[in-house]
Amino acid sequence: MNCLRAQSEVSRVRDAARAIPPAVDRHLAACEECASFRDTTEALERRYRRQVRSGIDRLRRLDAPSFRPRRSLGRKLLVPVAAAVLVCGWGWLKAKPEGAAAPIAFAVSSKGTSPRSLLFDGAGLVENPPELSFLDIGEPRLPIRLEQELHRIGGSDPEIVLPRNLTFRN
Amino acid sequence: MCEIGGIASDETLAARANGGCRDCFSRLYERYRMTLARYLHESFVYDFDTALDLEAEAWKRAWQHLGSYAGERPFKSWLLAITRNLALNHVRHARRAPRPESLIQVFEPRAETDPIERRESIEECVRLVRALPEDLREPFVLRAVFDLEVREVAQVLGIGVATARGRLFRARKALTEAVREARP
Repeated sequence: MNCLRAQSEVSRVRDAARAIPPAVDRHLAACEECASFRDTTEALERRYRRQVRSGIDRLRRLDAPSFRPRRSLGRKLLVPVAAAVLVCGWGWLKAKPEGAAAPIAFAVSSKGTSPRSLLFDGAGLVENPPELSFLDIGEPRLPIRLEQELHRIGGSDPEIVLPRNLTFRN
Repeated sequence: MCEIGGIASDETLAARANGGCRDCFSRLYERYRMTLARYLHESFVYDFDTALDLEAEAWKRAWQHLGSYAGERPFKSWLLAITRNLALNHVRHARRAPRPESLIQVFEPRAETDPIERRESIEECVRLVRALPEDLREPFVLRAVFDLEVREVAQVLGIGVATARGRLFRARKALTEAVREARP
């Protein structure tokens, strides 16, 4: 087996993700140039892939969609919960000097006054809770500009279906 | 809101998007956002702003022509083919095709250490790949970065499988020789 053939086989093996044939393996063990081809190719591809993919990740982080902050449910609830805890504490302190053993829920209970206080009524079981927009867990959305473009194109209307044989020509 | 889960395949999402589900199209967008721009940046145009514009245009075209996608090949390679057509158009019309320099001109060897082992060798790998002739660079990028199989690379490029395999081998050979020549 000559070097060109061996290197061609090495390249094929990389593309097909299969084991190196024994004949090629023997050649690689004896031929420094072909072994170098295998090692250099592998190292180059690995580093190149890593570089480009990390570049894509960086770009994605930098270009996070600005139309709606993507926050987890926990983070979305953090501010209202912290505020409610403060109100709770303040209510408890106000109630304490009068010697009343009012439950915390009583201190903040104000049915129908504020959606936030409803969260702390009783054991948190509230009938017909108000629709809180921040409970809408972020789904992937298109950026505004692209969204507008797609609207303009109008392909989103389920009534309008482009013909299947329509091909894209340049 | 679309009820389909986040683990749905590209092809499923594309089929639903074709039926008018904008959420499914958004999921596809999320999966490949910036990937197309990076592909263009690596394969055609080195100006990243242009690559971003072309990516946006590619998504528009994809939405417009989802009806022509029948799932006969992976959505990723269909999307890359659209992107590639746009890029070729752009290059043709703007006459801004990058002129591949010779590998030796681009690669400036530093004698003290091995180029493949140097700390900054990762950046040099990118430079080496960019210096490849276009017909070798494209299949290499598609294969190495986007994990397309040789058959899919051939589909995207509109060439035969054997040709794609041959170009990949020539790209690897050229890269290896460039590294060897740069070694002290």
